[in-house]
Amino acid sequence: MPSIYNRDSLRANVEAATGGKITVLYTAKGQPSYMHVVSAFNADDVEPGLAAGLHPMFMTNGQAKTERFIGAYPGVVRNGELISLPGEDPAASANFDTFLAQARANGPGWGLMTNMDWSGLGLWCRKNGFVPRGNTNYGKSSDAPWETGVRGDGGLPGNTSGIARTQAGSGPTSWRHDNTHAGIADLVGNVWEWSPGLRLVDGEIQVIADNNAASSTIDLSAASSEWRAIDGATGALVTPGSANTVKIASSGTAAYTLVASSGGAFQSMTNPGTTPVAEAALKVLKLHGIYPVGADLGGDGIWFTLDGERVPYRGGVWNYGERAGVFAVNLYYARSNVNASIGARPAFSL
Amino acid sequence: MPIPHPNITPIPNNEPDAVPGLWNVRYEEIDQNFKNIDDRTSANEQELSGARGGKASIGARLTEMSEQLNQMSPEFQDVLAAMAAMALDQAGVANHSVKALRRHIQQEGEITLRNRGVVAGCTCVKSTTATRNLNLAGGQVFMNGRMYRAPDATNAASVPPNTGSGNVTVRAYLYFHSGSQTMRLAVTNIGEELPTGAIHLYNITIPPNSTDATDPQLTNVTLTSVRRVEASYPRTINNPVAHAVAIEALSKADYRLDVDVVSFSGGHCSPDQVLVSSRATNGFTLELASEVDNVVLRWRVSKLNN
Repeated sequence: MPSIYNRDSLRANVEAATGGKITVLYTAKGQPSYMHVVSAFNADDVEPGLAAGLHPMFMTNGQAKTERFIGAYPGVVRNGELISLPGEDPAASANFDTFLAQARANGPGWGLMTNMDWSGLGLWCRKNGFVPRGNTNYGKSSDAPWETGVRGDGGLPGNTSGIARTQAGSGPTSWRHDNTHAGIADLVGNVWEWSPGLRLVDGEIQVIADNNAASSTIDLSAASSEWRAIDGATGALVTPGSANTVKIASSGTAAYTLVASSGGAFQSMTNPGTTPVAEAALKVLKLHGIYPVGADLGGDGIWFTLDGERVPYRGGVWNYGERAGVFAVNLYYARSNVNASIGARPAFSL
Repeated sequence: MPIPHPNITPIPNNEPDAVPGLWNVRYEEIDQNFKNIDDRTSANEQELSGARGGKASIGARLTEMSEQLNQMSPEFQDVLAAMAAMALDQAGVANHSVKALRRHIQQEGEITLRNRGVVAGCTCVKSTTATRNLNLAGGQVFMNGRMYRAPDATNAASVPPNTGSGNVTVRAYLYFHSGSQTMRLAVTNIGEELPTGAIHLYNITIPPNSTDATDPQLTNVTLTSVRRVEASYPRTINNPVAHAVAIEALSKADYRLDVDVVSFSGGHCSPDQVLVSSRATNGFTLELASEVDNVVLRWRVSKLNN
């Protein structure tokens, strides 16, 4: 019996137009979601010396993934599912748990683009020699003001009034992660994106191993037993609250404590402790995108608060200027925070 | 009918003349006779009038009746019978045409296509560490129009014993486990059908007297793979699900065939993704050029010039 070609014209056209870099996956309710196919890469290949083998973005529950599907566009909510569609006003104004539930409603294997995804893609972009720009100044790029997108509120580029989200993918290719029309759009600026897999608890950095946060069944709640702190001496993932775990602070020289200025540049984070965080632990932190891999990360910012659980969102927002970027991380708010500038992006892997 | 007083009572001759009482009795009898005659005459006239039936005379009425009787003659009744027979024939022809329309010229039906299989892996081997168990090598499968992961699983499902006197066949299959959001392995019991949400992997032939005691490692049990492998799913389908539909035989295979997609599980399926891979006078075969599952198709064959 001869092979036949699936005549799904939407998928076929999207794949043909993007060389297969963007495909269409269908959700449990049969809704299409435009997903960029990120081929697996090694950690050492994007940051020499960081770690051997596959970047943990492609490791989930001990299973190596040959690819990871990331929403080509910021998520929108349709029929209770978080999907990725071009030309839409990104979803916003929902808290972390709501967005996570909507992404998981897409079916097995679905979830949010994780903190580890952000970290891996950031390293890949940096290694690729191109760091994307985006909507960082009310509908235009703060770095390249001639680069604009279509504002969902009807406002003009640069007009500082209104909700200045731009319609997904309406900006130039330089607003996509690989500087091509098939890249992941709007990682920088536009809306913050909830990024599971990292958090601060009273200043202690906690993570979920590898990219296990991508699993559609893992417990990502505040009380989850999956959370691990990082041993400052060895980099081992240990029970939160253990001795010598890595913490973050605004100043001081406490042992195993990183210092940064909330609202300042992420790359300015230092390791000034009387007992500094060991190199092995710094590598783990770099893999999780919570310690800078170099001093060439531009003005991408970091924000944090040291009390209670603080769940990150990444990428920046439409009016953050140089502080927005693929390395920007905001650990200032609780998971319950709701704002018109905070959205999320669906992701998928088997 | 006699009149009331056929004989007027004689006047007795032993009475004196001109006695009024004697004469009045006779007059009354005579009056009663006259009235009787008048009544009867009037009744006869009414009956005759009715018998004329609106005609001028009884004769005209009789003539009309005669003509009517002539119309009920055997010849005329033959004509009526012939007409009735012809009407029945025509009704029969119409019924035959309706029957032909429904059974031959236009035929309809509904089928369901299950489009499931393996993308990669998902092979089974006999366990060496547990009695009558199978190990599953992980992989990826497709069902419901999307892919699922099936993780490695050791001693994932047990094979039932066969205490009978002949070979029996059971089936190994994957099913979706909602708790883990992954596929898991199971084996049917003897005589049990595959459940609805199953992906059939193997037929397992169990010889007689195969039990924990006699064959703990399944040495004499045969695993026959029936895995439908679609390595390029969902883009290219190498072994598309096909369904042969039998129809009432038509004179030629140049009939019109319409297919409507009633429902499906998964992303997208339109009628142009249902291919007619073969057609004959007594049936046709449909193939699915889509990744979706549980496809309910309504088909209609029409050949008005059959």
